[in-house]
Amino acid sequence: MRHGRSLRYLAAVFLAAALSAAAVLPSVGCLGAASSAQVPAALAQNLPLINRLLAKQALVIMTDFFRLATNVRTAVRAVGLPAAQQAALEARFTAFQAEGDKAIEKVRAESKAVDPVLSKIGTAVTPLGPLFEDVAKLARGHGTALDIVIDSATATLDAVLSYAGSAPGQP
Amino acid sequence: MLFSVLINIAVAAVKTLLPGSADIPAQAAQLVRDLIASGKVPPLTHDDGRPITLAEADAMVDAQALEAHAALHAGDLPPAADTGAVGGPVG
Repeated sequence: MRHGRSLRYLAAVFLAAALSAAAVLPSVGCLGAASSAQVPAALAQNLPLINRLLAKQALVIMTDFFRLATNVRTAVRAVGLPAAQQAALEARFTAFQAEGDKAIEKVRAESKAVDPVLSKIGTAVTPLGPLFEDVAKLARGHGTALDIVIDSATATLDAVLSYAGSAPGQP
Repeated sequence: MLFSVLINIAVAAVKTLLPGSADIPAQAAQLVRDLIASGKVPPLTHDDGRPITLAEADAMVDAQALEAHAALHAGDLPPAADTGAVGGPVG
């Protein structure tokens, strides 16, 4: 009789264990299914802020580059090139400015993206390279000081492209 | 009492079967730390530790964009009409 009660008690315990496991497993199963997506989801919570700070940082370097590029034009004016060459340089610089204005606004717009933004910043900035090379070709060779300013601007442009051209953690 | 103990045992057993599930927030936090350590992203907080809000970050981007435009156009000559070099008083 006593054994019978004990067995019933034991059976109840096992039944309770089975029921509790059945109740818990589905929710844990959901956790398991979400595990691969949960890391990006948690990171995605920070991405809007990260994207804005990445864009702001890119704009800081772009500002340095534009200051140096403007110094190149100012220095060329001070050197006093032949009128035709000066006019050609001013025309190239105007084209460079138009593309620079577009790049700034693209980076500003991309700062609000919901997905990682670095490569898009790179796309916005890349067209500036050949345009500045045109300006630099016309400006080089008119004095060491001017060449140094051109070299600094070129190095800063490389820094912008290097910043925006590779994702964090990638070589 | 017994029931809650059994639930705890069942949860512990399942957690053991799913290694790494408890580390998910830690992994995400590590990814963010890696981004910051790469130097590409400044810290996500102010100097005093307050988190930077999206509105503040937007304002930073806008201010820096204005500065970039200004740097790009700092060497622009004033328009000819403003110099008084071309044309003269009308009427």
